Amino acid sequence: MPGNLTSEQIAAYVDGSLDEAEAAAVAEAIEKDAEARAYAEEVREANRLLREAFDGPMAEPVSAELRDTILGSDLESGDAAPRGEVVDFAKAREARRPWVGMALAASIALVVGITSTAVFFPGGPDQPAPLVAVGPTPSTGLLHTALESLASGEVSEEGVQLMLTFRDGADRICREFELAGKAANTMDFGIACRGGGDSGWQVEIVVTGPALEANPDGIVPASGPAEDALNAMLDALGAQPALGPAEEADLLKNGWR
Amino acid sequence: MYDDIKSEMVALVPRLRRFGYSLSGSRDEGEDLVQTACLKALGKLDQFQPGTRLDSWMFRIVQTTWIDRVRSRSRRAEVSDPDDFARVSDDGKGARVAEGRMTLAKVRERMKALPEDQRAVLALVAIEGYSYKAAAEALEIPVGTVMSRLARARSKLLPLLKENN
Repeated sequence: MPGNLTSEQIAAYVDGSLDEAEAAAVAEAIEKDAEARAYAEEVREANRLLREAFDGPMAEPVSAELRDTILGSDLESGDAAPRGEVVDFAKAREARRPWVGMALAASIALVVGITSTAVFFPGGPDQPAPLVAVGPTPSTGLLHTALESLASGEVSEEGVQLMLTFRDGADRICREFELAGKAANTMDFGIACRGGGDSGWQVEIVVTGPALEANPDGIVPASGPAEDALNAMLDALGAQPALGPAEEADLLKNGWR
Repeated sequence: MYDDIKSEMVALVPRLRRFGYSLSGSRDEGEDLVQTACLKALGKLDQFQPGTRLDSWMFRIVQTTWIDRVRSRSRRAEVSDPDDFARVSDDGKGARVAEGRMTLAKVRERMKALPEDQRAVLALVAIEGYSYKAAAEALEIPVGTVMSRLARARSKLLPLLKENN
C-alpha cells in the first residue's frame, strides 16, 4: 500500500470517482509520494490498454440490418413481438436442445411404460389422442408438475423438457415444453400459459413432429413445420422476449405469480 | 413510438459491442450479444425510465444476456473453450507478433480469465469511463461491491503489465 493512501483511493482518483475535495486531497498526497505516483500510473496505463484492447468494434459501422431492426420496430409493450423476436426464441430453444437426446432416451421408455394416459386423459388409454391436449392441464398430471417445478433447460423424470418462459401480449406467463410423442420417434411441442382451469395452466397449442435427435456432434437440427407452428403461435400470443434465468427462478419460487 | 430512444440506441451500438466484446472476449459473440440485447430492449422499452441513462440500461441488458448465456452453457456442461484459460501465458507467439499487439492480446486474455462479475465492473469503469456510482447503478450492485471487484480485478491485471514492461 503506497504511503498514507490506500491503493483503492489512488485507483478511485485515477478512475475519476472521487468528489472534488477528495480528488484534490489525493492529488496533493500523490504528488509527494513516489510509490503512489507509480501505482496511479499503473492503473492509468491498465485503463488505457483495456480501452485499446477492446476498441475494435468502435470503428465498425452499425449494420443496416441492426439499424433497421431497431428503428423499424414499431411496437408498444403488449403489441405483437417485433420482427426478429422469433430468432431469439429459436436461439433459446437451440441452447436447450442438447438435453433432448438424453431426455428422449428416458422418455421413449416412459411412453412405452405409460399405462395410465389417464394422467392426461381421464377417458382412459383406449382413447386415441395425443399425449397432451389443448386446454387446462389436470393438476395431477406430469405436464402440470413439470410446468410448475422445472426451470427452463431441465427435464423431468418423465421426460418433459421445459424450453423457455415468456410473457405473452396479455402479460400472462407462458412456458414452452417438449416431450416424446405418443408414436415412436415423434415429439410433442407445446406452449402452456398461466390462467387456465383449476390447475392454473392452460395448454395453448400442441404440435407433433418428428423426434429431434442430436447428430454425432451433439447438435440438434432446427425442426421444421412443428417449430414453424410454434413460432406462429408465439406471434399470435404476442410473445415478449424469453425471460432470463433469474427472473424465471423468482417466478418459479413464487408459484408463477 | 419511442423514436428518440431508438435513434439513441442505434448510436450506442458501437459502445455496446465494445462492452459485449470485453465481456465475452470475442468480437462475434459481442456483436451477437448486442443484437439479442437490442431485441430484448425493444420488447420492453416501456420499462425504460425517461430521464435515466439509456446507455446504463442497455449495458445492463447486454450483461444479463451474457450471464444468461454463460449459465445456459454451463447447464449444458459444455466445457469452456480451452483457449479461455490455457492461453493466459504467452505460448511463444510473442516473438512473431509486434510488441504492442502482443500486449493488447495479453490484456484481452487476462480480461477473459477474470470472473464475470469483475470483468463487467472493470469494463464499465476502465473502458467506458463510468464513475463507481454510475457503474453500481448500471449493474444494480452497491458501490462498495464495485470497488472490491475492481480491486480484485486489478490485483490480477496489473502484475501482467509490469511483467510486460
